[in-house]
Amino acid sequence: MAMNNQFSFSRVLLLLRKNFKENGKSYLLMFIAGFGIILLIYGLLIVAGLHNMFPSGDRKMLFTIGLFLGGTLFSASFYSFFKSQPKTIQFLLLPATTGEKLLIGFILTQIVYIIVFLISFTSIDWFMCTIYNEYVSVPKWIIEQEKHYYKAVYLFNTDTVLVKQILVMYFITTSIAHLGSLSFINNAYVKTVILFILTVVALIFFNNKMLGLMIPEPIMPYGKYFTETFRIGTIQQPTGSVTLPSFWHTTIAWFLPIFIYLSCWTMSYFKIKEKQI
Amino acid sequence: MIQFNNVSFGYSKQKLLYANINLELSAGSVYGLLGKNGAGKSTLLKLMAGLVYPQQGKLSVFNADPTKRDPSLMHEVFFIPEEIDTPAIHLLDFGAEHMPFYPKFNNDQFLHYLKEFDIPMTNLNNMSFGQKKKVWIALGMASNASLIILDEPTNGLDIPSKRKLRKLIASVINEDTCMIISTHQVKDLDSLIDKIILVDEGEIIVNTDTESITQKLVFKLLPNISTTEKYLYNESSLAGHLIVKERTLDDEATKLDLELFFNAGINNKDGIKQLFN
Repeated sequence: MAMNNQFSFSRVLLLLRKNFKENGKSYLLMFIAGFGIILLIYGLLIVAGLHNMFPSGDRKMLFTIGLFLGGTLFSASFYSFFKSQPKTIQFLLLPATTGEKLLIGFILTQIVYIIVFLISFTSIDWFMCTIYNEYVSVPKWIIEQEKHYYKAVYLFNTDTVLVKQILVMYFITTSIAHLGSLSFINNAYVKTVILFILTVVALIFFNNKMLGLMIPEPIMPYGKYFTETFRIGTIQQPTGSVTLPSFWHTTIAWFLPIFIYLSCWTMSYFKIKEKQI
Repeated sequence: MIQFNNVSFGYSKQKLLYANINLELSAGSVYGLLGKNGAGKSTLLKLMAGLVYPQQGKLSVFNADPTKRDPSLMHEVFFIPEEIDTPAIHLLDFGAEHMPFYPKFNNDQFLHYLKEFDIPMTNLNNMSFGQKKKVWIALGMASNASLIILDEPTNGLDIPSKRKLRKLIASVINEDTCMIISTHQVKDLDSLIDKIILVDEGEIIVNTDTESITQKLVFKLLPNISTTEKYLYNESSLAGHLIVKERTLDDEATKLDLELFFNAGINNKDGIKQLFN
């Protein structure tokens, strides 16, 4: 009975079950630690805020940091077992395709983590807002019209949380961290962060320099990353101006994240496929 | 079954560990891969398993390319490394999670081998290194893979376990199975091995069966060394002088002394190569 070399969802399920069985305790401990930290910080906010307004800015910051820091740490440590040669051998020689093995990393870092985080965070937020609303002591001098400021609003009921942008950034940063986990055996997180910062700084610098050679206008005017219009000819004798089409920005806005995201996962696939020990 | 055609490999392109090696291994045999520490035994095994890729030449295992690590090939190959690492789960869960990946896996055999090795039915975390190693050996044998690769299997095993391992190997080998055992403790497995591959400094010195060795060589313990006779190798011991010499028509066949043959191969490469290649 020969095994199929094509992608198989049943093998993915087997791999997923194996992963949960072998790492379930570690995942549970990570979850308890993360949940405990968020609960603790919320607790401190409640204690400090029972006579004040419940701070929404601190909660947004906690949400963003928890999502990014936790997500990237989890992704960057996903292949930390590569430090152990026997475990690497078991992983590489397990009869499953590279795509199936990669999909486990994708499911856990891109789907499971975010679902668990969102459910945990919203439930803590709901719980703490309910406690605050129940026990808040509004100062007596506050007039009736301003008392609604002392009512905690659930974080996702406010329209100031940039959910779409945060999620896009989450998917990009965690896919980079996942690639870093495959690329560096030791200190994957730190090395990936350093390389990421250096790459971004270098890209901005060289982008600025390259565009500066082509376009005789100040690049990144008024803090904008994308140049919208530029002059043709010299500053003394301009011969015309070019205005880039308006869809230019929207195109870059979706093309760039998708390009980075797909590149990271394609590179991750080949990192596993070409892995030698 | 396994064919190396002018295969070259090195951990760096400048320094090759193996250069243009040719080797053929067939089913129905227990191969003993012998060599000094650092001779490249583990690397040769990793090449066969697809854990490292040849820089030049063609390597095929069951007519497939091991570097692709296709599931159809990987379920026929079981590699037990020298150092092992097991997850902190129950022994039976460990077997159950691997079973679906090996279509020929026999759970009854697995349980029987565990019993033979006196393995307690407990969490792998509570086991000693030797017990964990025996669990891996039992798993490998129960997988009924056609190619079982054991890298220093007797390291960490106590004396009764070594005897049980010999018994186990003898019971699982059949005409469709090939077992490759890398060891530098030749005495542990010399009764099992029917073919010898001797490697040194990136070179295959010998690839032959034990019968050919006893046909061509004699191993003796002499009180004194003769000055007229030509020995391939000799070494002094407390009881006299151990010698290896080419067998002539007058010499009776002697029992293979694997350790002495190994020493002869390492110290008189040319003499041994001339006889067997």
